[in-house]
Amino acid sequence: MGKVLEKEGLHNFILSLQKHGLLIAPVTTDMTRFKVLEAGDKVELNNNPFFPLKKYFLPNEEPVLKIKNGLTKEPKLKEPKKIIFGARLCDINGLAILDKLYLDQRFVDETYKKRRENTTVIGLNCLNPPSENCFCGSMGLQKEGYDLLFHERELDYYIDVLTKKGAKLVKHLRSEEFDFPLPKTDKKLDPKDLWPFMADKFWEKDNDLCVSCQRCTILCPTCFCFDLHDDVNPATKSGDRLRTIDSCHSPDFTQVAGGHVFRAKRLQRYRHRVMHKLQFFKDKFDRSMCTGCGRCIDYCHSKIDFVKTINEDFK
Amino acid sequence: MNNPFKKEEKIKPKVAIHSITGCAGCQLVIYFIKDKLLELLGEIDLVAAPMIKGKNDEGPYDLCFVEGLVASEEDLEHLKKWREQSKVLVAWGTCATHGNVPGIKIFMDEKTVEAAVYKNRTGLKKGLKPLTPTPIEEHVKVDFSISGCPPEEIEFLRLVKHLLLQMNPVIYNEPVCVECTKREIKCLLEDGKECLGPLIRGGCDALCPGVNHGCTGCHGPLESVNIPQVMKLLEANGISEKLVKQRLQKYAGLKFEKLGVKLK
Ligand code: SF4
Ligand code: SF4
Ligand code: SF4
Repeated sequence: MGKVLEKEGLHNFILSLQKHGLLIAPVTTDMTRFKVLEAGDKVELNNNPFFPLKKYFLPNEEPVLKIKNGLTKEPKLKEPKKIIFGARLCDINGLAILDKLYLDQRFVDETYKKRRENTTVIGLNCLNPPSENCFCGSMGLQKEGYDLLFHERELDYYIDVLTKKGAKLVKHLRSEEFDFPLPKTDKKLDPKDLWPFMADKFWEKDNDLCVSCQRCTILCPTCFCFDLHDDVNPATKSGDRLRTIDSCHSPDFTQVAGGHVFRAKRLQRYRHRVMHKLQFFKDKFDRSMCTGCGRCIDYCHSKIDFVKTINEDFK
Repeated sequence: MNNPFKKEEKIKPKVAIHSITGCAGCQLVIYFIKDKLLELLGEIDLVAAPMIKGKNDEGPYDLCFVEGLVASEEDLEHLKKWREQSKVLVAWGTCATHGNVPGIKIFMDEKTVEAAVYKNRTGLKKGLKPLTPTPIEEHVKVDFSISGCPPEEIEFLRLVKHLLLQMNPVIYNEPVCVECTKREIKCLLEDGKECLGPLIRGGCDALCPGVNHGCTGCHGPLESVNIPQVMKLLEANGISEKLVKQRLQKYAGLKFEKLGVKLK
């Protein structure tokens, strides 16, 4: 079941969301970024933000343990309710993928869970892909992960409602049943089993261009790897155990006690990232970890395009 | 490395902050930390810090920070003595770790440079006789290297805290692009400009790209870098090879040569 909002009502609807929590939306200055909406900001309806939605659920750095006088306790999450408007389905499906890991019954990450509960995600369906590198159309995106999703039609927005949290915000609007189309992209990744290509020489061609800057993983809506650091003041025996985002492109990523580095060669690291996104995760969870947002191509210093390599060279 | 900061020892670890040829800016970073430094001072015994103390002890030291590079015979004598006297020796700042600006001399005719500075070399005190300027690890074993012109205070605090807590110190070891991307800074390289970010060790929180100025490399390079590809990216942005090579000479010329770049 869904709802309908007339086009001219969009602006007021967005502003009215501020009543329900901290309102976050994409805003364009020198680039498009998700940010807390302030007076004078114009909500960007065309571009996908540089940094994906994951930053509101898995920040770059956060304490996972508080240490006080040598004793440890779990940090209390004190964050206001948030409403995020204008996220794209690739980022939202990215959340659904992160949910598989962070909300797994066996190891629920309480902070992540609270943030998920505390945040209302309102998507904006892509009629035209915001980047020529978008290939979500071939990544099996699903209608999941959001509370509400806006789909623009000729005269109005159809609003898909998935949760009670979302329903509350649109209960005053007219109801309608409509099966909205998922985004379509010209760029497509051919579905291939990548295992037979592990030793392919074409990895080297792309790897020669890789400068290990880690932008591809930092900006990926589903890259979740982290490192742990203790920041403790020896005088007071107090401080934090911090979780910071990490990247499989860093040589230090596979360093273990004793100093050995498992993936010391850049080629191993480059290949690992692509294989994990497209193959290893799928083997385990029956779904690709990549949602086809295209950021790792758009923002790669060398514009390495694994989609092209896999489609054209892996035969 | 064995951590010398043994728990059972009631005696506070003896720390020294010493300097050879350099501008003294790296030491100043430590003294500017003020409140956080004062907190740590209770946990250590700062036995030698000639910049801020009148009375300075000779070793042994548990931990000795050395700022500056070897540029004279006297520098080398001091460095060797401190090494012998110290359990843990830290190269503090890019002069100490990579030779930095004074190291540019190795790409010129050294005699000409010396003549320009010391017109009448006969008047030089014996110990001040110039040597080829080199980072300290060319002469003695260094336990930890923290680069930066100047280095960041957090890197000093982190190292001292880790040692005091008997942990294996972690030195930040990722390219500038990492902090830059986390800060959501618009990439200069992508924008057709000059930036050495992918080659250079971060830890600065992308200070320069954050104010729209390309990274010029003051922290020196990481060990595993793809220099040919970064050179190509800079060339594609219209940055001349000459300029790029000057940049590489400026802070860490010797190291870049070891990584395979021909700078001479
Ligand atoms: S792997 Fe690349 S295209 Fe796929 S979700 Fe991550 S950033 Fe987007
Ligand atoms: S963004 Fe490109 S150059 Fe940077 S680590 Fe990823 S693949 Fe390599
Ligand atoms: S601006 Fe420089 S440091 Fe930042 S991502 Fe681009 S190349 Fe890297």
